[in-house]
Amino acid sequence: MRRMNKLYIEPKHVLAACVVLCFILIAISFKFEKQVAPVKSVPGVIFTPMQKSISTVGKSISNKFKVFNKLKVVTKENQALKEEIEEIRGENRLLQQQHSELENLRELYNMKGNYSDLPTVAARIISKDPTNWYGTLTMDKGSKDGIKVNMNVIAKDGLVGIVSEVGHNYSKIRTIIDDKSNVTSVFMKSTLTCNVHGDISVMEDGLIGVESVSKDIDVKKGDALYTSYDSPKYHSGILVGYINAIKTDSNNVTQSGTVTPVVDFAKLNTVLVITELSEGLY
Amino acid sequence: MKKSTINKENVKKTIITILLVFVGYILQTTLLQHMQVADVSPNLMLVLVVFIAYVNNVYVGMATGMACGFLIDCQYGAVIGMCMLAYVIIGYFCGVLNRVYYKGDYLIPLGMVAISELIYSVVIYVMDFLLRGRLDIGFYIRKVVLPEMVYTLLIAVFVYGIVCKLYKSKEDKGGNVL
Repeated sequence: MRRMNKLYIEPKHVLAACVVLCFILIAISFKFEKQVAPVKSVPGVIFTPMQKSISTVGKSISNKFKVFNKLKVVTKENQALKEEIEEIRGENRLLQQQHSELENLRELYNMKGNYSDLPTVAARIISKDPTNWYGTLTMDKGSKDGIKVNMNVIAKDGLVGIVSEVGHNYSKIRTIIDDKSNVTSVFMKSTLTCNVHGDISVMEDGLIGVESVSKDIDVKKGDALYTSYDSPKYHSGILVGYINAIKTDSNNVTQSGTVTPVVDFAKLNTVLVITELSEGLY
Repeated sequence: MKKSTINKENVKKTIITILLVFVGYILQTTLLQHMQVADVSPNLMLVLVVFIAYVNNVYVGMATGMACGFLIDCQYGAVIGMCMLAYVIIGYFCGVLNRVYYKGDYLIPLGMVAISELIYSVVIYVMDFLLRGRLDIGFYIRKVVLPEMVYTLLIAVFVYGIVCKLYKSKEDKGGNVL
């Protein structure tokens, strides 16, 4: 204790100073979101290479753990999948025919194709959100690979999220399961849009919320939701998920419920970034 | 002469602290995310802040809290300062407790981890969820806070042993300086 004599400040005062500093930082990062982004990327630049390598180790360990109890499940699943493949093969043949027909019609109408024609870049997920409150992912491509904020991120089966922040060699994805995420979506059978939003209260069941569905649309469980043409940030026509449950709101005008996303966020380790920004209507 | 030995010890302690934070952060963002149970991962950084503050003193505790909070804030990206706020408060209280009562048993540090986890959850909930009108606090306690606390306490048992050993080996018999 003696050695502190030369410069002794009461701990309370230091704490007060730190708390004030934190509040100032919070205020600054709210106010000047863009200017703060480079500061945030400083630790990212240092840690990203290390996270990359350790993430690989972690993945292999967790995979080893899973191997034991999964074997039984997998054999059963395999059986079911084989049957499904047979079914889908038949459907696929039919769809291919229809697809070529659609292509021809599209050419005739000179319509813009769907997102599968857009240029993409593959990236690996190197880190998941370190807290349990959010749904952000970090991937190993950044501004040096041409990634920009607001680029859409998809996996092979559907929408993952949107790039929310870009560093030099990494970028962050705000997934659609994040509590702050909102996606304007549409059903195939109607042009009326609805809002798909992340919701932490159903997140653990692997679901996301949907609201503002017009009462006029007859929605059933299993109906597919796609990103809408109205969406200012997302390309249209990307599969978001399937309706899990839906009920009419107390205002008797809209319906809301839950959606099962097509992407399995727990198993996600590679994603595709659409390197063309959506122009949107606004 | 005595002064110089103290300084040397301080340097060693500082290096250990920085290394702990460094390794803890990398593990927290990578390995632990793959070891989720009931959809939550343990909060290793919080455990580190608590123990570093408890084993050292209040100033080291607050500095560690600031550093850890900054790293975590940078990683998940929303706002800088929120985790910092929680961790600084935690670092302060654990450092103060070290002055009041320090004994190398398990019960008190683990109790502190539990309380710190609560402080942390409250700060995050109030700052980022309550202010956006998410009022269902019972749900958050049940599904996020409690599981996280249990899991964090579990790893805290191991981490405490490691932290104590690290600091003690460099400190030799000087363990009861304070």
